[in-house]
Amino acid sequence: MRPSRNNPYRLVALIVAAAGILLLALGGYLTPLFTGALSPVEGAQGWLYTRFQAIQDFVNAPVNIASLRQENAQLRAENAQLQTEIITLQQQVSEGELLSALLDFARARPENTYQAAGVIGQDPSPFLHYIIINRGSDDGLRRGMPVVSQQGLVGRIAQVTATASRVELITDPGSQVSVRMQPSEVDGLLSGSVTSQLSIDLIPLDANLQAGDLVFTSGIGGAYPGNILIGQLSNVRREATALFQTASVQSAVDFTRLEIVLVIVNFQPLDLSPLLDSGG
Amino acid sequence: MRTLMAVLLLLGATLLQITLLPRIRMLQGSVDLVLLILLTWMLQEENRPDWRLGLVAGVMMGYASALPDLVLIAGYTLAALVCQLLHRRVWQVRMLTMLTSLILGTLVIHIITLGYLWLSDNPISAGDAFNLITLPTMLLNLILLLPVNALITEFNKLISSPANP
Repeated sequence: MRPSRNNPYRLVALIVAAAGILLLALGGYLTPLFTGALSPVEGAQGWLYTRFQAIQDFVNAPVNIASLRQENAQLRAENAQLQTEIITLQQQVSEGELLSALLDFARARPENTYQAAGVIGQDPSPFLHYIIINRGSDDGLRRGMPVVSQQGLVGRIAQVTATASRVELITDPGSQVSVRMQPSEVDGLLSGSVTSQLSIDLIPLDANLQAGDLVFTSGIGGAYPGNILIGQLSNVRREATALFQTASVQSAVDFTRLEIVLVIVNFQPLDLSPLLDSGG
Repeated sequence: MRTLMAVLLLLGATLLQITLLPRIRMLQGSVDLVLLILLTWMLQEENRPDWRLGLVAGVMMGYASALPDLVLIAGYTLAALVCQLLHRRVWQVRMLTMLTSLILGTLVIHIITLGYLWLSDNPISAGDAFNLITLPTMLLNLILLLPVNALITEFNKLISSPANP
């Protein structure tokens, strides 16, 4: 018997079955069934996609590596350039700060005229403590002119050529500077040494000095102008049999990091040698 | 040609000696690259030891230093003479000659410098000078002897090759 196309019961049964399936699906009761049914399909799809991607990568790889290498080289070059710029800018900032400090120092002492100079070398002999600066007689520098940094006294010019000068540091074993300690207002004679340590001699026994007292140039002797900071006392030694006290000084200037210094060009050191000769 | 090369090497060493090397210190001593190059150059197999090279080194260092020219000229010339003497008469072992020349050369230069400082009313304690300057300088020089010798040997080979007659 052939079923009738227009059987209404069949249509109703189909609608009821479809609605039932829909309701079961919406209720989540068919999920394990779907998962089980779709799992092989998804596996096959994943397998196909992976293989296709691998083939695509294989076909396109040479082009990508070449372009990546080119891009990498460009980025490396750009990185190197930026690093160079950073270093240059850092140097400029450092130099700017140094110049600013030197300017502050110069402004604080308007009575002096300064000539800035860069440090370009040191004396090759380990027995001497000299530096070489890039300004000479062409820039108005003369022998004996004091040299300072923003921290304090550095030394004085010992030799001059047209374009460079040699500066004897106060730490040189042959250097002697007349100093005055504050607040005691006591005078002494500062000397350098082989080890770059500064010491003060000829301090009267009755002077009351403390570690931490400041040391300035006194101006006595005419070799240096007065009131330039040198450092502070680190310790004071008084021996019972000695005629004078001695003291060690911690310099305000870091002589290992000198880059730019100021030469006081309007100071004329006094030459006392004729007086000393006639006296002797 | 070889002498010119030696003078150029010494000039380069002098420039390094006043710019870079004083910053590399052990106590108060610093390496003496000019002396190192002078002695290693003089003791290369291809070169004949010549004290006049010491004279050139002394002139260069005298110009660069605040010490009087004569002090350093005498120091480096004497160091070169010691090297020449050792090379000719005492040993034929090159490295031993080099070591001895370096130690004696450093001592000679420092003794002459110290003598000048004493005479010029700028006395430095001999003990301090020896302990803080001479011994560290000698040690630094000895440490750098082998690398400098290797460089100078290679440089000599380079300028001795047939392509550079």
